Amino acid sequence: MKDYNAPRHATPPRSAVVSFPVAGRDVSDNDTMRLTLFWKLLGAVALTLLLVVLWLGMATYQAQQQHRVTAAARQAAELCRMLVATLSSTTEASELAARFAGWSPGGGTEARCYDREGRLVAATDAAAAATHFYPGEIQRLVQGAESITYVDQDATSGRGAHHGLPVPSGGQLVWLVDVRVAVERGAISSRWLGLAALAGLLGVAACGWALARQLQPLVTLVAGATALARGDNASIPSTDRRDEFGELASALREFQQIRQSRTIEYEDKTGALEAVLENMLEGVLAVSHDERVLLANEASGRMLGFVAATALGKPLVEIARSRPLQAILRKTAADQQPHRDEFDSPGEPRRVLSVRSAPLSQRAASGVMIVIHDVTELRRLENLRKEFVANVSHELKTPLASIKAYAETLRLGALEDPEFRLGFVERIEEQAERLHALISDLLLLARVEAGREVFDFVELALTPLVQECLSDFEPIAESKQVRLTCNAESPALQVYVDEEGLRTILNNLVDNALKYTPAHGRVCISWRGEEGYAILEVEDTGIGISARDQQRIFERFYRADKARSRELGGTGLGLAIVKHLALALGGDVSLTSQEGAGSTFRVRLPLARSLHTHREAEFA
Amino acid sequence: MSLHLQRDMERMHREILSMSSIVEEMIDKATLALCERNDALAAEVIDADNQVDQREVTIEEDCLKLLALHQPVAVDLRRVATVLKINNDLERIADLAVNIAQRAKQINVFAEFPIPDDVPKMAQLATRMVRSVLDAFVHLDSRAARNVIRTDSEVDQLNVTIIEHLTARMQQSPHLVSPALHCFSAVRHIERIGDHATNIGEDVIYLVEGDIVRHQHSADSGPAQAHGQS
Repeated sequence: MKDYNAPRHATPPRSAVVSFPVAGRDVSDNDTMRLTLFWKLLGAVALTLLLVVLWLGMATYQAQQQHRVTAAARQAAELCRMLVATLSSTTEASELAARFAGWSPGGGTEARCYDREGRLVAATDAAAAATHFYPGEIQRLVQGAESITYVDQDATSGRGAHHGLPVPSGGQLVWLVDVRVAVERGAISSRWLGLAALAGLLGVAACGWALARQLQPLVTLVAGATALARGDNASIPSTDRRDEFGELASALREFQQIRQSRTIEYEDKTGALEAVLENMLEGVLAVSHDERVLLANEASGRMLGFVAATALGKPLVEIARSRPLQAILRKTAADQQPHRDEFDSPGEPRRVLSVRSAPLSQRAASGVMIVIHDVTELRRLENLRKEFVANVSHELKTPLASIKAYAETLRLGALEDPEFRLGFVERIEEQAERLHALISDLLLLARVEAGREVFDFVELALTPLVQECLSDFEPIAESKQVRLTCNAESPALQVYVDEEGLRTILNNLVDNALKYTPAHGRVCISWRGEEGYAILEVEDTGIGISARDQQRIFERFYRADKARSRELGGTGLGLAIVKHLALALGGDVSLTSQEGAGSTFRVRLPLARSLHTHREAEFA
Repeated sequence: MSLHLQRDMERMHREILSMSSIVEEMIDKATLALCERNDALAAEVIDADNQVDQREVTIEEDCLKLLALHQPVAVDLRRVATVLKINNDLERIADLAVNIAQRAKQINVFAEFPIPDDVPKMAQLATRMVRSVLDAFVHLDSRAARNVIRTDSEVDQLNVTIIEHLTARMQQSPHLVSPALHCFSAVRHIERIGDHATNIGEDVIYLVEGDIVRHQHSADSGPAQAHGQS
């Protein structure tokens, strides 16, 4: 029993490397009887050879036969001539006939004698009397040449070889003799030979055709394999032949399948990788040793100002003209060490980019890989924080320095001085109050921002609150000669807020308005309802705020006009508190202003819900 | 194109773009130093100028070597000629950036002097012009170059506006005449940068189309345009 586990050919192990095993066929049962190509070729060649040899044999045999017969005919003809030569031209025909009759060459041989015109005179076999020479033959014989022809059976009524001889006598032609020797038995006539040749040719042709058909799959397989090599997905023609072509076909088919599945696997992996790269926030950039782009994801293009999709293969200096980027690239390429740097992006909008670079591989003259982070926001917040800390320190130090100075002065002798000591103590109290206000504001702001301030939301009518504010600030307004008014479109408007928070907002806004409005100006508070919110406006005819400052004015400690603002006092936190309180109460604050004309601060606050529900109840 | 010529041309191309990166960074920093009153940035700009001068000389030498060795014709010749001219313009722009940085340092001494709002706008416009025209050079885009040339009139207009503003301020606050004059100077430098960007634009058009379009502006823009010499 055959060992089916031992394949006939060496099968490489299936591994991650693409190798095509010779498998996928099912011919292990009939190995010895398999019609391999070898046998087919052998068979065809043998058959062809056989046919050719056969024909040659037949041809040779016929030639030999012919030769024998014509030799015999010649002999007989010579005999005949000798026989007739003794007769002169004047011999009677009867004598001639007698001589002929008396001679029997035997063996199927016939002899005839003709006169110069070709008429039969005498013959050994009277039955063959009707035969004539061919005209051409007579001519030749008359001219003294021999004539010998080999005639197939059934070609004429003559059989075998003719040998014609002229009989000269005394230099003149007297008679013509013709001897016919019969062909032996079993002779091969030319017709047979011709047939045999034809048969042989047909046979060879058939062999050739069969051979061609056997080898024809080679053509399609070659085409299929070439297509496979090119990468086309043409299908290998299937064949159920069990010889080498069949093996080749199934091997190629298997290879194609493997390659297809590998391609799909590869495409999936690449697709996943590409998706990851394209969706990253960080920019990834890889550059070859001659500074051409090997890889650039969309984020890197966005940060450095180029189109990532078309960047492949271009020199980096062409698409991203950033000196620090090139510097870090060259440094990394030179010392094959990772580096970090931070710089501004080229172009607009200006971003702060934090960049890390690393060599692509250990080999020298390999490329460089760069990862880019956009740290603009981070740095901005850091700067804000630094500024804030610096500001707070300054704001706290100033009153403290004053207090310290006054206290020291008192200690060093002013205590004894009744004219100044009260004044100094009052200054100290003022500064302490200022410190207190600042720290309270800071703490309030911190609490509001952190969401730790506890609010007590109630439904509140705006009118009484505004009236209260107005009366609080009336003395200050009067002293500055500024008109303080209010204007209510809907006096009954109610909002849903924390009372203290709203009061703080109003107070801060009015305080600011009064501070920055010169004499004979006007400050007006108005409010109206709009789409579920109450819009509360504080409008002044003051010095206004420039466009640049408008963007930053709600920041902590931000002062538009630093010098003037300090003079007028205040903590610098007023508007920051207003903004965060408004947000915490469920609304927001906005500002329109024109330098030199005035400003309008607009606070949006949620309307009291019961107003809505009352209305709904009405219609229910 | 022979391999050697191609290699040398590529190297020249990379060198000029490398220098552009440095100069563009200098303009960015100089205008930031001016508008945001940053002395540190101003110092960086002034330090970078040496590098630019050295590179200008190197690039010019390389171009001349290229011309002598390879004797290029047609587009290649125009390319080398353009690089020589752009090289020149870039070095001038770098010098102007240094000048702006120096002015910025002078202005920053007077903390109370407000930089007019139009100055950052004008600086941004000029910076954008330089960047766009160098992009046009890289992409051989003569249309973009023409756009940049057109933008120069806006820069000149802003220049006029700012000068008026500064003049008014000097009259209002005589104690601010010194920083105002420095500001005036800086703004003029910015305007010159715009002019150099225009020159580079014309060089790019020459490279792409083979036409010298210098001094032809009166045909397609009003007489208000002040066109600087290269």
